[in-house]
Amino acid sequence: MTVYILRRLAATIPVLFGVSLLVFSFIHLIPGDPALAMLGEHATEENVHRIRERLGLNEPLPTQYVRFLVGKMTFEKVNPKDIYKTRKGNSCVKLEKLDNLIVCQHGGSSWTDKYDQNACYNLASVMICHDGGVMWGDMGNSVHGNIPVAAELKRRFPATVELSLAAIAIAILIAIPAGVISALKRNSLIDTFTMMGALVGVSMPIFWLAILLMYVFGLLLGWLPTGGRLSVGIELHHITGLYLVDSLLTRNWVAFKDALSHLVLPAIALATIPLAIIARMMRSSMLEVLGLDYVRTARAKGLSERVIVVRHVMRNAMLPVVTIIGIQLGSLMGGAILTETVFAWPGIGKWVFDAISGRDYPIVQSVTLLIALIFVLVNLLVDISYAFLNPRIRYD
Amino acid sequence: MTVSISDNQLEAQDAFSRASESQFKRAMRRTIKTRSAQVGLVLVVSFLIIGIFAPIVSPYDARSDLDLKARLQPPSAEHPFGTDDLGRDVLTRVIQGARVSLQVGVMVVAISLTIGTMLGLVAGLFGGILDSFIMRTMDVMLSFPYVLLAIALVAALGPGLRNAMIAIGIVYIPPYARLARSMALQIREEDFVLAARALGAGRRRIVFTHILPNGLSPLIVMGTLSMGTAILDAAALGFLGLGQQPPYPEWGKMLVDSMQFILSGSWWVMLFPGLAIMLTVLGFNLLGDGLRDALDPRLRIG
Repeated sequence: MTVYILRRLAATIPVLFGVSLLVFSFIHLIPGDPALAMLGEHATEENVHRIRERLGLNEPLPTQYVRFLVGKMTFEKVNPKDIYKTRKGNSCVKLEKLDNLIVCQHGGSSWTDKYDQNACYNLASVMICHDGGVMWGDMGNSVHGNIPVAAELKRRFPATVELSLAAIAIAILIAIPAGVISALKRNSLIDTFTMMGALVGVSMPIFWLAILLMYVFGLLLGWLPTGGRLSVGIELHHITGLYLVDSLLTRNWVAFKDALSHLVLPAIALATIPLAIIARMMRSSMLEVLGLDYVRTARAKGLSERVIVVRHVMRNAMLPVVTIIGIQLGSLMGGAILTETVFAWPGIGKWVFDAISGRDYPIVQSVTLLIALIFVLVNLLVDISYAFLNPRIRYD
Repeated sequence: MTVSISDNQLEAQDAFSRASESQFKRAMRRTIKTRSAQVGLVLVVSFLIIGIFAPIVSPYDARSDLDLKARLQPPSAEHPFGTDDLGRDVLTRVIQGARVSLQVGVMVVAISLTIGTMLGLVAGLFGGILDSFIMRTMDVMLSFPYVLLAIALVAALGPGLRNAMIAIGIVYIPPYARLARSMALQIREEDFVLAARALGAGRRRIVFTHILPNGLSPLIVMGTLSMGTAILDAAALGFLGLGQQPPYPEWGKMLVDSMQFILSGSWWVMLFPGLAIMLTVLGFNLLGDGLRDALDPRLRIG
């Protein structure tokens, strides 16, 4: 098992490199000068030059890729006694103390540790500093407004996570029973109805469903809010950034109810496709297992139908479904762009939509990279959990 | 006497033609027998007819027929689907949108099927470094959710229908490549291919007369199903403003434009383009499922 996991981890590394290479090359697919494309036709020469400089577009391509990946790195041998840990957990060479701020220095520049710009780490007495580099989690700054992308991503990411988790929870809670019942009552009216519903679910544009839900429940009936995460005037202490969790932790029932009411419609819209796919998968997987010999044996032993279905059939039928759930969780992030746009949900999807309209490519690159990383990670976890769950597969 | 001979002849001929009827035709017949595939076929064929004959069936001109006095009119005898914010007939725009979606479906499947199949066959037949390189590239592409990769590609290439089709076409390549590769690996070990090779058949002959015809069924099924998803993804790109640019009508773009008017209760601008997408995609999915069950029962999902 350990060998399998290690081998699976090793196989992920080239994929990650490929992903970073693909994301890096987006900016070079832009026809013409990327800097000009980002700033628009009326940009001054000076601004274009500044952006080219900042994004390192004047360097040769391999240099640009290395810069994108690991940033500008410097190594320096220092006296271990001078090394000081900053509040962000980075290392820093102490220069002096001003009030309660520590002034750090590196490579000729100095800064206070509250705003450490050159993130540094030390390996014994060697100080490694880097400027930029996605490997370190530094995604650079946005073109418009020069906002650090990583910080904004961190701020918005919980919103998308909350929405995605809610959607996948809705999907699983409905799809698994629906698939099981469909399989047990094969070709009945309820089966036909469920499978037809599932097919309509995968055939529907989710942004259309989102608009429909918003129109019916938000505008016509007025039961639920039509956008955002929280109503104006509702206070909530942020801990995790997941509003439902935060409001529960702080026992803020007003905020909980409000956050929940905002979450319902986008989560349902986002849940449709995974719901339909999981239900179909669950049904076919159940049908396959139901036809196996050991199920017949269990019946012959006189086990009750309930025990057979729950203990013998469902447990084994869940295996491929777990894989599908993993893949769907990854894909949800793509779907979130559309749902968040309709419901003005302040997550990374809405952000990327705005960034596309503003041609702010560093944001598009960062979000794409982040989602691909999550996708790869989820698939890795699914594969590993699969090895644990399936007694028939032993990889070593 | 002569009559009965010719009768016998006819019968024999009929039996002969039935026996030699291709596996494909038989599968088609089987497909058409199921109710859901029939519904799918009807939906797809009506979509094709509407798409191909759009200029003839549209009651108005889609682009230039503005009537600012008739803005946001609810459905009526004159405008069965109502009018949009510029007084354009929504029915006409939905019909014209079918043409765009048809184009997208055909182009995307053409791009992804040819390139994907070629890459997969090359990988499967040549093996070695070429195989690893192609398949690892496919793995990298599969590390992105489809929609996201397509969005990122179009965002870079620049918005527009052509780029949207190229982007979706590229994103759809990996499944075809995987399918074609496994097809090639499987079939090249079959006895009849070994026999052909022993008889001195070249690689090209083996690919075109043995491997491709045998792997045609899954490719047809996949092509049909991806027509539907391509239309869905193109609508998503249109919705994000990355697809067909105004004033040409495109279903996804019509939906995003409709969002500002549903607040005032103009539901028809939003309802009909969405229904059009759903029915078209549903048609391809039903037909694809039916084809799959008939052509390749192994691929059956439920």
